[in-house]
Amino acid sequence: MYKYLLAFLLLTGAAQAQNVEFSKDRFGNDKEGLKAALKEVKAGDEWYEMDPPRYEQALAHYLAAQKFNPNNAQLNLRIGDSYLHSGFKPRALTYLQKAYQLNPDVDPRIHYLLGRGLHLNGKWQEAIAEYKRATPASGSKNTAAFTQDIQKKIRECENGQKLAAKPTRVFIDNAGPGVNSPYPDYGPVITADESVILFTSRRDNSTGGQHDPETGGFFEDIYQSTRTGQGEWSAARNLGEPVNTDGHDATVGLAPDGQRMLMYMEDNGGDLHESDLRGTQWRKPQKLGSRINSRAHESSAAYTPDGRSLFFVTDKEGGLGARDIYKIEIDGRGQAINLGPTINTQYGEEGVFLHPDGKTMYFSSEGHNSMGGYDIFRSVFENGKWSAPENLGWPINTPDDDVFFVISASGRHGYYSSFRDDGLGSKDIYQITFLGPEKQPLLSQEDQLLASRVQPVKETLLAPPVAIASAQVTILKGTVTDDKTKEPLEATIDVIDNSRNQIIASFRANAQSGRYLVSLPSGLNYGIVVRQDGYLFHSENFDLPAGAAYAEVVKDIALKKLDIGVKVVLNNIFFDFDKATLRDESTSELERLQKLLTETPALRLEISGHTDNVGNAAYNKDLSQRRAKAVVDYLVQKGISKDRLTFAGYGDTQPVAPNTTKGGRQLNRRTEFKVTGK
Amino acid sequence: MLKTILAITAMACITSAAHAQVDTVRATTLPPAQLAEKLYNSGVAKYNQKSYRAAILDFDKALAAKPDFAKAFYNRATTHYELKEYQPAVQDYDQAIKLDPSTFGPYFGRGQAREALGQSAEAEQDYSKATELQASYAPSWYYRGALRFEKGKYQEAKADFDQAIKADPAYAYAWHDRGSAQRQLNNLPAAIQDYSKALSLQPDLLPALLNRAATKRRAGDLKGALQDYSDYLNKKQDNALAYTNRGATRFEQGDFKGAVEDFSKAVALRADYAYAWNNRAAAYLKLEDYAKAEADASKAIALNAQYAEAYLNRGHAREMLRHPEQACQDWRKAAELGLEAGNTYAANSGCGAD
Repeated sequence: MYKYLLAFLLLTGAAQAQNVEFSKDRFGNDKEGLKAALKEVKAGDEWYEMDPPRYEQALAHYLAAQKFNPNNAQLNLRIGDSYLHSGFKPRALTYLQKAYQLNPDVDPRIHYLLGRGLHLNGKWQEAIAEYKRATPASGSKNTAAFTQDIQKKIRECENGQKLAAKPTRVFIDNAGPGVNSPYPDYGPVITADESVILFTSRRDNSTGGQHDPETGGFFEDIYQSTRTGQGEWSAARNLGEPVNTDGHDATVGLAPDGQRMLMYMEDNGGDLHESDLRGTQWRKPQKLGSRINSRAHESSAAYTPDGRSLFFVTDKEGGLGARDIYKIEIDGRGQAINLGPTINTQYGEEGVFLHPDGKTMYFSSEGHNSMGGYDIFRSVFENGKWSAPENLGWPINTPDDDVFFVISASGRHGYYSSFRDDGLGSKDIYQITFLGPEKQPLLSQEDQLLASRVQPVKETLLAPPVAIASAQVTILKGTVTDDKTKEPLEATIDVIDNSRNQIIASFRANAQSGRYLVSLPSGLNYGIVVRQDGYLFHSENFDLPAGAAYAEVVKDIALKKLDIGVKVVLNNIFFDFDKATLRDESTSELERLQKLLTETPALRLEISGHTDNVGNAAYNKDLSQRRAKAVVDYLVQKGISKDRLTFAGYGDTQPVAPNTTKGGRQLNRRTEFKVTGK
Repeated sequence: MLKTILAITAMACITSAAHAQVDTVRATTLPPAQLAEKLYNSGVAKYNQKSYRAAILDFDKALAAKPDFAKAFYNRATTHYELKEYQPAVQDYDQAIKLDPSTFGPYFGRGQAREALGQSAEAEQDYSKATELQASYAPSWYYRGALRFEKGKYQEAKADFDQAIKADPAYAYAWHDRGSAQRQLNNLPAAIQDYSKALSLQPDLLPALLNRAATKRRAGDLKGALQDYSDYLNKKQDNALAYTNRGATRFEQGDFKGAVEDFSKAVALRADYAYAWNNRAAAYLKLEDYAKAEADASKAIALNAQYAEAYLNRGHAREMLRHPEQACQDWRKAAELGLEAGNTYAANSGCGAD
């Protein structure tokens, strides 16, 4: 009974809501208020009716008028429409619904606008119903385009409904006050280990301090923050000149080691630029060449992890749709190649990012199964082709634009920017924590199976374990210093594929700090060689079988100058098990040694073999000696004079680590050389 | 409970065998053998009156008069058994067997006593001997089957229960336990049939309802399982295990609220029942009430510090409560206690190195 009464009251209440004009009849007792409100409406209308309309500016005035008279259909419609063109689009819905309630004929576009409002609030079914009621503006010449737009939006709602039914399990957290400000903050890019974040902001300490006359607000600048020990981001600092200029300067991409940055500037219709880090100072950005930049709009780019190629986004002619993703070899001569129809659609693609594993790409698209605007997708390059793009799903993607997403090497965290109600104002940067598939709880129960016993039989129902979602890449980082002075060195780091004896990539440690970072996708036996003129090289080995899980290895390397008595371990010399036969994977290291001897004619070396303390000591000594001799034989055969080389087998008599652990024993099994003359 | 019933059944067999001797000899001065028989008969009468101590005194005297009186040893053994004096019972059965190795009774009795002493291998041998001497005596088969079941030898146990049923087709316990053997052998429809037969023979054998429910559940018949659990709980409301298992079935059906209700009844009946606390934690996880899930899992861990599943579940709750380090600790602890999945979860969730 009570329920019916309530429903009745609500219905009559709704029926009574009526459009209230801003007129003296209604507001005769508050003439001043009416006058002020009408002034706000007029100011709002001026912005709203501009070509192109300036919705953000209109909104401020309209909301002021709305406070005076919340029941004007036309005003509610315009507030709703303005919100649809702002950062906070979902707020449009309540105003649009009210406009319709006050006057169903408020605007011929009302069903379309209601469709948008419902769509942007994730009310998929209701949105579809409104879209189906929407009609093109009377006298419109392009009804075909209108119909296509409606059909696409209905498809988006259908996608949204499916995706929202199975949400992606994530935490989405504001990156906090170190990074975000009350102004727009966006475009985050990170180093592979998430220790440094660079981003774009339009805050009040922008270089030059000027406002953009077109959009209002400060010009874009690039800011940097680093992760503190507590996992928070330090207070962001403006990168300053020469990176930031009086105009717009925006982040686009960052090499995994944080030593090279890609930027966007507005020149020439929007072009891509590059800067690199010397010590703590970013150098003056250089425009990327004409094979990349055109008169069209180049807006986003990412380095491949080897630093040799670039993926970028342009809307130049000849693509598959509005904006497409291309790939180009930086130092080559060939033209950029369109990634093709698996990735690029007839709609826009934007915001390309490459995971340090070298094969997983994240990008945004308005096509594929987007739930509205740009959604973020993932595709993997395997067996020579890109996999079908996979929507990252709700709630990462929303019915509005979701673009410029980057992910850490571990695959655990993603970063992007978004307008959210928990933000610090305007657009903010958010950190996404991927939780992976739902973790199934386990139940226990027991049954008393023998009638004659009171002895329970335990029974456990076990859910299958989830697949490891973490990325298969090892991050190697640390600092390179001079062994004696401890000064940082800007050494070169070569990453070598031992099975093919080829240098895959070369990096330089930071000149000021000596810091370096390389990412090694699983599946290869890597030799890492750190070298610097005037120093003996240092070699490390990382044998990462396919499927090796994500790991971070910190390795500080001290380079030694060429001096008598100095010893260097040759970590990339490999022998067959229990034999003195050199394996093919050793070639690269042996050639390096040969080169060192050729370039330094006075150099004399003792090559020595060492074992751990497992097994018979005499046997170990003999094996280590034969192995050292094999290295010497190789060098002599390659033309190095015999009298410059000696060999020795020390067995387990010169350990460099305790033999009590597996790791220690591995360190002790080694080939090394000692400088005996120079 | 059943043990007592069977002991009495066994006694019934013995007394019928001993019937001929009851008080047929009347004389004032009796030769020692006859005196022994009289005392023996007196002992049997006292046993039947449940005057076990007095019965033993009579059997003692009978044996003093006639030291090779096998039946007196046998009956004294059975009386000791009744008094839970298993070691003296075994000694007397030993003597009885020594004097007369051809009857199955002492073997069966010694089997029971040895089982009570935890000597199941010896007990199994005794039951075997008893089946050889008298294949038509169903309990020998049944008890050997139960021992073999407990050793995980379900095929052999089933064969023994088959024999027990052959010897006594109305033996509800044998039907029931054969059902359990079938279930362990994954012959689920056969198991359900056997439990049903046991119930039709003995409607108050309620464990059959619980076990039939568990078997139906395993066979994927969740509805049938819930019906059996509910039939059981309509008759008996004091069993935490029954509520816990119905709750787990409701959980499997996706009825997480119903599951919480059952687990709550279980912990109300038995506050120290760790399984029910753990399972309620699992249901709260599904209901996304992570604070309650954490509290319940903690309760389960407080009751059993080695409870791997509870650590795992608490890890899940703590992850969602944004306590990642505590979650990592819990998952790792679960892995340490044998749930390898714990390490997978820790690795997937970015837990740092140990």
